[in-house]
Amino acid sequence: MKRNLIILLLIPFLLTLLGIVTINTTFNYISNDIIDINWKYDDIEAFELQGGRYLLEATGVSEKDYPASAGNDLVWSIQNKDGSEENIAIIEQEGSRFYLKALGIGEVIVTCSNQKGNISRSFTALIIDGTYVLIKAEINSSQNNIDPKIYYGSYDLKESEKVDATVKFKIDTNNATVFEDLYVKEQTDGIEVDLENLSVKIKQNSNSLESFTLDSKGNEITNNPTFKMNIINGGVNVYTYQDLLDCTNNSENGEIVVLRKSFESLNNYRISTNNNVELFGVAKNSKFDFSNDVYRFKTTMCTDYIDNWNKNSNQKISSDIICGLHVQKDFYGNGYTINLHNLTYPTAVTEVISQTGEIVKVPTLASSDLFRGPLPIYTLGNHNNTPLIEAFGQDNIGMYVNGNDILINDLNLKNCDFGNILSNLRYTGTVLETYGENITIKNSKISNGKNVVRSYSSMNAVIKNCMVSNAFNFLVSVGCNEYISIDDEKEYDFIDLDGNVNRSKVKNYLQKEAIGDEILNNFIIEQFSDKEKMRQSLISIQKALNEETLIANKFKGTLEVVDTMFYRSGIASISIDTMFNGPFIYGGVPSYVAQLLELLNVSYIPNHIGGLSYPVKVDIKGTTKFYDYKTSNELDISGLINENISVFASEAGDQIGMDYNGAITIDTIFPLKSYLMANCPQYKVLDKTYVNIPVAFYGGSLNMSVVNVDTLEMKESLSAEIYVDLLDEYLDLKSNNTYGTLKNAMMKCVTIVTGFEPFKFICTDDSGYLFGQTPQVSELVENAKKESSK
Amino acid sequence: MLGLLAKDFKLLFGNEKSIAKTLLKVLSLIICLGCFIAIEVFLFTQILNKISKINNASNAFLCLFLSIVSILIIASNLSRSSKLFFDEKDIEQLSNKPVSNSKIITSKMIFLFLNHYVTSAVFVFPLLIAYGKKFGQSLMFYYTGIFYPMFSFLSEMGIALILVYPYYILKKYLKKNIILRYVLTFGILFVGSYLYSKILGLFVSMVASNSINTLFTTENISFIIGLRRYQFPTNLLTSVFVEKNKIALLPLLLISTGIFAFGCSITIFAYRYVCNFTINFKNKTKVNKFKVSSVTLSLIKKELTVLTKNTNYSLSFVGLLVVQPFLAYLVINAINTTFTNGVLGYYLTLFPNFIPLLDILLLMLFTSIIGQGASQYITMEKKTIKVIKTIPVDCKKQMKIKLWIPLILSFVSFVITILVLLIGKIITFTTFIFGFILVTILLVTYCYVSLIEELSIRHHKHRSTIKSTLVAYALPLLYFVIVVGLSYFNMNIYLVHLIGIVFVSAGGIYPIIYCIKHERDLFLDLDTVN
Repeated sequence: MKRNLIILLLIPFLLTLLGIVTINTTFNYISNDIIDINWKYDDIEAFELQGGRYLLEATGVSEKDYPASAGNDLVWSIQNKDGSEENIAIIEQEGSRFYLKALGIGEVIVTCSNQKGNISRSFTALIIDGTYVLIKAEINSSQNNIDPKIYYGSYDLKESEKVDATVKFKIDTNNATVFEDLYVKEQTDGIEVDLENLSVKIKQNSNSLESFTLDSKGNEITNNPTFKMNIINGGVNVYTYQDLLDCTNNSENGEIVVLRKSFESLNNYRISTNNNVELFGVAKNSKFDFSNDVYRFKTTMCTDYIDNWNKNSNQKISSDIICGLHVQKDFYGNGYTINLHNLTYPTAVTEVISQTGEIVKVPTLASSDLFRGPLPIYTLGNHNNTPLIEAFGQDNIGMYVNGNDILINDLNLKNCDFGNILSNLRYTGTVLETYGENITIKNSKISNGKNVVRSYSSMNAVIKNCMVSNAFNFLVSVGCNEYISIDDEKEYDFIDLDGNVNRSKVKNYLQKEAIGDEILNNFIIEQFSDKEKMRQSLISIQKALNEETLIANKFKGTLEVVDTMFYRSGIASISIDTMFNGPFIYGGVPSYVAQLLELLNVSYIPNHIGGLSYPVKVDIKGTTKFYDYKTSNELDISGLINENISVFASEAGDQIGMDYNGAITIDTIFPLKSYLMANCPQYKVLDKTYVNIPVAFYGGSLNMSVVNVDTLEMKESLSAEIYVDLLDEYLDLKSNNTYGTLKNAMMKCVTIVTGFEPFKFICTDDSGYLFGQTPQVSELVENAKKESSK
Repeated sequence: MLGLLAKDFKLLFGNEKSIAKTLLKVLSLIICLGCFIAIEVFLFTQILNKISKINNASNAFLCLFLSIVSILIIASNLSRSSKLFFDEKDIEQLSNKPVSNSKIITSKMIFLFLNHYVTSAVFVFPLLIAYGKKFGQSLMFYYTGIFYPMFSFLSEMGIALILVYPYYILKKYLKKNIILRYVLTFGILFVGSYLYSKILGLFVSMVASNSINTLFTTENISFIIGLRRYQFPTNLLTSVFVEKNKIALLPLLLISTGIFAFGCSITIFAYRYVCNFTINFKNKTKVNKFKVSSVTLSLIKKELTVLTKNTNYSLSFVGLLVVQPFLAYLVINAINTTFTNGVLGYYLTLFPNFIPLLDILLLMLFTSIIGQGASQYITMEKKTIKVIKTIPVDCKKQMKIKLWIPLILSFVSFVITILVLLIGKIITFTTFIFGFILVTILLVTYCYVSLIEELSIRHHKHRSTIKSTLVAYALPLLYFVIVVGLSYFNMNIYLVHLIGIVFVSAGGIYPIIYCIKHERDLFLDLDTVN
């Protein structure tokens, strides 16, 4: 009896364990790079001409547990600071060692980078003969700048209050006696130099460029020891995490931020030897609690689905978006890094043995993690627990740029370090989102998020001279929050399966057991003989839902992409979004699907959710480049739509001893990939074919957004718009067995939610444009230099 | 020696003279074990299938499962060795026989070993086979597995033997001190229930948030692996038998033998001491003061005294009656959550009304399992059967009181339980009504069938519990299969419930009528032992 009771008490645990879902993930590895370069050089270093040759020392910093792939050996290069061609110094290589060989007096910029050229670090080398004096900022610059200017804010924060900024500096010389008679030879009006404390105070309303020069009374200094500062009046120098919060999340209207340090993940912070690195967040026993630090706001996306669900279900869905930093004013990054890994990356890890027998670390959400993936814009099933299919909307954000006339300059922003699998970015959110007018992001490296940049309903947004890299979905996602709901009362012409035209109100035609419902039911279960008539009928339904004249040319978002590099996405570089607008989300038809969901105990099936998104306009200009090749296997749309039908099929197969793993996947249910691969130009190398998709237009609903590439240098390498008409493909689907019919019905479930409009893609042609190449930071630096000298 | 072994067998498993009944008993035992093993293998294989891709999870889980089995076996060994070594009747019988103590002890040890081997094999072998099959282990793995129970015997039995005398003393002490017994009983039950609720709550929250897979994060797996350090003897046993770590063999043998030797020494010493004590000690006759009261009241008082003062009933019946609402709430809530979330939730859409029907099944099982604790209406009388047979009180009246006191107590606990479930919105009103009717019918049926079995006890013929077991388990399970089947074919739920009631009632009518009709005859046929 006691034994039986124990068994009864153990039953819930055993049943719970049965609910575990087998992990069946395919891992697509990317060639990951070093994340930083470590060295001991200050911003400026002196090399004596007589010394001849100096060994250059640096090491690449790999992410913990992820050694860098090939192409990450360090290489050195040199460039005269004034841009002249004169031979001041050269780099000599002996095996894996690099030397700086001084040839003449002058200043050169010494750059160390990985072979790929996408990670680099620079310092200024002063080749000198005689006594020198160098003025160096006490806290090193990032040495990773794209913009050549180093900015200083006119304020510091002291106990969260603004005070006049003070910059500490140090003096380096090869003659100690210099210190005794050093004096300020020249200084501009906006600063006060204190040689005793080696500091310089910045006055308010100073000039944009302030400087001071030192000299020695008793020694002849052979260089010109001048310290220059580009002043941002009203800008606040940010040295600590608390400063960062005070200028962003804790400030009602925001402050102009001038970064003076990097903010890194715990791992990177621990290994850093520089004095310019701080920890992002406050660690307690290596754990973080950001719940009081983050900024929360109600999502700006359409919340019809969430609102309707919450009204009708006990399991509420939050409509809050969490962001790491809420930026409302200009943000000068000075090339420093903000890495929000501690906030955005799942804190648990599951070690999974891959198909090849390797142990792969899969980031896994812990209960305390704040970033848990995007909000649902529509769900078939229960969002909170294993929905059948779910379309995603707005995600949590690393940096939310919210307001008008804001500049983000020279910032290295990333949401996390993610190893070597893009799907590790699944829960890490959007890296940077703009919401406002005239927001410009320039000279920056933005990377590592589910989507990297999201710009919805932002007019005159500009991304200029940036490197945007590593997105699980899209590197830049553009769209509009505003939409027009369907007018129930408006009458349209609908064509039935006999070709007859019926004029009817949308709400009447698309209600249960009406003609529209019957047609859609027949479409789902393949009960039609004339493909063309079915197509006409379905298109007439979609036309009624898509009132084109309401939105044509009414752009509610514009984005200009200038001289920007796009590197490595899971789907496409730029996506142009539109709302879904299928008959099911409007009227719950076809009723067969609604009945199926009722059988599945889905507590509420929302309707009247869809609508017509206003279009947006994207101008891609200048030397913008797309380094975004991927094979069919690497094209991963699983982050676009969450589906669990494949999970159920696989689990059910396990129960009955059948292996359905891989028989039903996201690519079966939403076969965008296979249709795209069949239609777009591909570049073939050996036995592999690659695609490079600069632009993807969402389909389903009417997408009237426009992409203009008239002034894009590489426009010749782009294909024409490629249409992937899922409807056309679905109308051809026929099966003579239950499994096939069921599979086809599942696929069609997507179109009745999204709508029947085709998806569009712009790809690169099959000439191999930029294939095998990586974006070069040096190009961005050159662009910035040119811009700066204008 | 064989005679001693046979005696020990009878001591533990009873003595059935009818070959047919013995065969039936063995058959039912084999069926039960078969079912148990099938379920165990199914569950473990399912879990292995799901977690085999997770690094280190399979070994960690195997070790955890084996450790749980080990704890259960140690508890079982403790109870068995206590019965074997310290049964007063047995000691008294052996004291009159010309058998040396060493022979007695050796026979008991051999018996304990055989018992341990079989029990261990039943629980452990399926786990090892499932594991071996999943990971394509060689024949050698299975062959060496045969020796697992032998090695585990030394340590698991050693631990049981170390604890057996303190356990015996404690039991004896608690038998005399009713207040302390209840304090301890309720303490254990409440602490156990609290811990159970905490762990179950954690599981349920993971199911509800669809994060059950987070059980296998490296942190959790490391924790489970870290636990291995404390999971003696399973940690060393798995090292030797699963991971083929030969270095672990020596410490396993040394530590296990040491524990076993220590346990044996304590037990032998204690056995000798208890033998002398039992033979020489005579209880003083207690002079009771009698009060005059009505016959019915006296009988009720007597039944309540037996139920509350007997050590066995205080833990297994009275204590469980108190915690039943809490435990049933936890279990039913957890199972409802599991079946309404995630993949299981989707599968169950094929079986409409599965969950309310399952809730009723669980209520039936809870009530009948706890009811079992007080179903020994005649056995509990022990040597006083002759008193109940000779007192001038109508046997029907006596039996009625014997039957209805535990029945009413079980019923009250059940009513509280089902009300808690209704108020806590775990079950619907329809489930409440039909659950109430069905469980009540089952409870009454079970009590009557138990009474028939009790009244059928004869000299040298222990109670056969086959019929009551069938009523307690087979009847609810069969009811569940039928109603779920009907529900699968979309039959109206009210109709399904009504058919269920008819089915369960049909199972109960005959024994109830039979008992009422033959109660007197059966009672008169009861043997009395002087």
